[in-house]
Amino acid sequence: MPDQGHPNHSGFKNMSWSRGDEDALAPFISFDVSRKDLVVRLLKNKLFGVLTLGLYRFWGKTHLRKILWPGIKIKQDRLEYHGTAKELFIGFLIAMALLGLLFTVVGIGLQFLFLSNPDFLGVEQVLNFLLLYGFWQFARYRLWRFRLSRTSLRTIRFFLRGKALVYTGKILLWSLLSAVTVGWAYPYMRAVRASYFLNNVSFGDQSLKCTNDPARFYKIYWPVIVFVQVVLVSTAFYLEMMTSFQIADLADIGSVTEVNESLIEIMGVLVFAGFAAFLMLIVARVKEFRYLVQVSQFAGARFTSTLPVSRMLLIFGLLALVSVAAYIGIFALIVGAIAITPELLLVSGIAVFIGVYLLFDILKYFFLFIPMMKAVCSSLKTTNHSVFEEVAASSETSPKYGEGLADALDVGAF
Amino acid sequence: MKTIARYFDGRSSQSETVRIEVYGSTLLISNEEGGEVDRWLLAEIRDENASIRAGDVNLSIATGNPARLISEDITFIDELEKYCPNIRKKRAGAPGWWRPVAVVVSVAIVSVGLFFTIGLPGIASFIANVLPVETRQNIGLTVEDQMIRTFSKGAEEGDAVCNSIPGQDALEKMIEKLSNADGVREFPLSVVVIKSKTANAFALPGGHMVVMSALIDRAKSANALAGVLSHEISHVEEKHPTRLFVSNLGIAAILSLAFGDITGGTIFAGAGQLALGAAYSRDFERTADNRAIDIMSTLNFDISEVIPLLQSLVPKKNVSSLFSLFASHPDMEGRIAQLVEIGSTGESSPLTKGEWLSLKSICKKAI
Repeated sequence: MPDQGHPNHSGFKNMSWSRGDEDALAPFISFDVSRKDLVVRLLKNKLFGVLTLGLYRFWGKTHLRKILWPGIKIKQDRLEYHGTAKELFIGFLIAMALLGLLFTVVGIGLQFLFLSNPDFLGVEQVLNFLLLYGFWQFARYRLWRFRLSRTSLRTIRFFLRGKALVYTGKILLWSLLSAVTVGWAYPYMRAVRASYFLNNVSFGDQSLKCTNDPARFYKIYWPVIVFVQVVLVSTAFYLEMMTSFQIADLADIGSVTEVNESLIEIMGVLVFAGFAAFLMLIVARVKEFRYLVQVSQFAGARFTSTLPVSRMLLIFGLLALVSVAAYIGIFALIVGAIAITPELLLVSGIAVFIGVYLLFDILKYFFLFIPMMKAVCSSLKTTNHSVFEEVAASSETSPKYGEGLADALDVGAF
Repeated sequence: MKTIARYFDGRSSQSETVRIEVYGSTLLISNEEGGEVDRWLLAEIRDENASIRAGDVNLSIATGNPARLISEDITFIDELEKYCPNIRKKRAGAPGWWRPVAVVVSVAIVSVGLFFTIGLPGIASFIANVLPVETRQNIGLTVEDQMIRTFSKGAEEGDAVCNSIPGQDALEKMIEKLSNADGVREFPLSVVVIKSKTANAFALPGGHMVVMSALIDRAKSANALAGVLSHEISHVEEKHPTRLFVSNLGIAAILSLAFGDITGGTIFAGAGQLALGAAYSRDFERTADNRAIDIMSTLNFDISEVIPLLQSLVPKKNVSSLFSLFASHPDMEGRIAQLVEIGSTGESSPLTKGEWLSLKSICKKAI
């Protein structure tokens, strides 16, 4: 696989860049936040979130974004976040009212469909899943529309045009096809998704242009698809073999234990295969990111990313190691405390519950989000450093209240 | 006090190098030629970077005004703080900013209140009434099958059900009499006795009822059991099981949305559902209690014979008031007191002595 991220490799063959353009390639985005401010904010958000039964999340999220957004620096300018908790809160209330009604009616309808005829169990679950999946995609698009419209660089706002419903329709269609073709339509879905999203992103009066070739997505994703299919087919084949074996030896009591042992072995192999598939997916995502950066243009400027696969794998590896070590440490501490004073059982239980959730957030930011943002930002280069300095404000109107759907559906992670 | 800064007018992303200086109560912004670009009131200036403790200031003058002044001169920033008392403070909203918030919050509170007190019970009652009898019967049957499977605990399903022929005949006779108290009945009732050490009875959607064998064991007379069954028949008449089922689904949907993404949100939603669901259920239980008294009086059966049965079911320990929030039935002492007050409601019995003995031994298999 050629390294598409590097300008000297085959990925740039088709581009008509002059020698001068290549010389101009230099990092122009960086990411840095105060870890102390971030930890204090995360702790406050969790604490007030629990005390107010979740009501604080709109304020917490706004404060967090006011720390994270300016962390991104393009040349000497920071991003600015303009959203307010009030907008998030009102959007949430509106979405709650609409979704509450819709989910109640649909949920009740689906339950009755199943209970009045248990044969519909499969259908009911598929419909329920499709409804949630569709809403999730819709909410994600709206969420990015809100976030971008509340983000500015050098006083000029970003926008996401397009229709969330069209986006959802495309994703639903290609997701269904991916399921039917056992993954073979998935690369096409990624191409369609990226195309629709990126071509609708604007900054002031200029728009991002992305012309991608679905064939390149197949080149990126085929190893993952083939691997997953091989694992699925071999598991099914093995289970089938084992079932026949079990029936043949039903009288033999010893075979039951053997079958159980084989099942544990299969589970072990599947966990290992799942982990391998996850790593392969990370590799594919990095390649996809580099490809999309390479085929995107903004106001005549071209971009490239040299994000190394090894750096991303290292980030995930380190996150896994630190998380396992931290959780083992916490549990060892609690077990030790209980061994000394058994009365502490309840108190330690609550402490573990709160500690684990707080730790999860901090680990996520320190070992995943921050290193990932640093790696991604420093990998980006452009042919025109001043491209963001020559843009006029757009007259496009921003959404008044955003993210309500995403908040209700728990889509917004930060 | 002067310094150089970058000025953005908010109309384009181009910046202009400007000179800024404190001039009276204002910050004077002038271009390289010395021409005045703008004047900002010091008291109105805010630093948009305040929350990130950056080495630079990102000054703004008013909400909605995109113009910005960016300076990295640390000495100037320190000095400026003395002149701008509000630089790190949050800008107050425009007059009346709270009005739309107050309106939306009030509408939300009122609509949630209306939804739980009128909307959901209304929807539940509507669905229970429009749902065809066959659908309700199928739902009841599915739940009944699940209960039988649970109680059979892996043994043969037939073993969990008590159905000696004389016992079943007696039970059906009792149900027949109780359900014909007013001479009106929409659909046939069916009752199944499940072997269990727990004394209880349930009404399921579509006229299905489940009686736990321990309830029959503890009943001292046919009237005692008839009292409990008439309570369950009232649930069936009012379609309470279907209504409760619909309400619980609605509560689950709403609460899981409301507690969206906080730690342990699912636990809050679960507890909320339990409390709200139990509140609906307590209302239904009161209605069924009153209707049971009517049925027993109409048929000249004595409901006061239920009292010893209920007394045997009173929990031994006192339950705290917090848990009574989650209790699906009104407290047992209250129910007993109501029956004591009413006293005897008749002299007849729904079964003969022989039939009652057959019913008492419904779980015994014929040899």
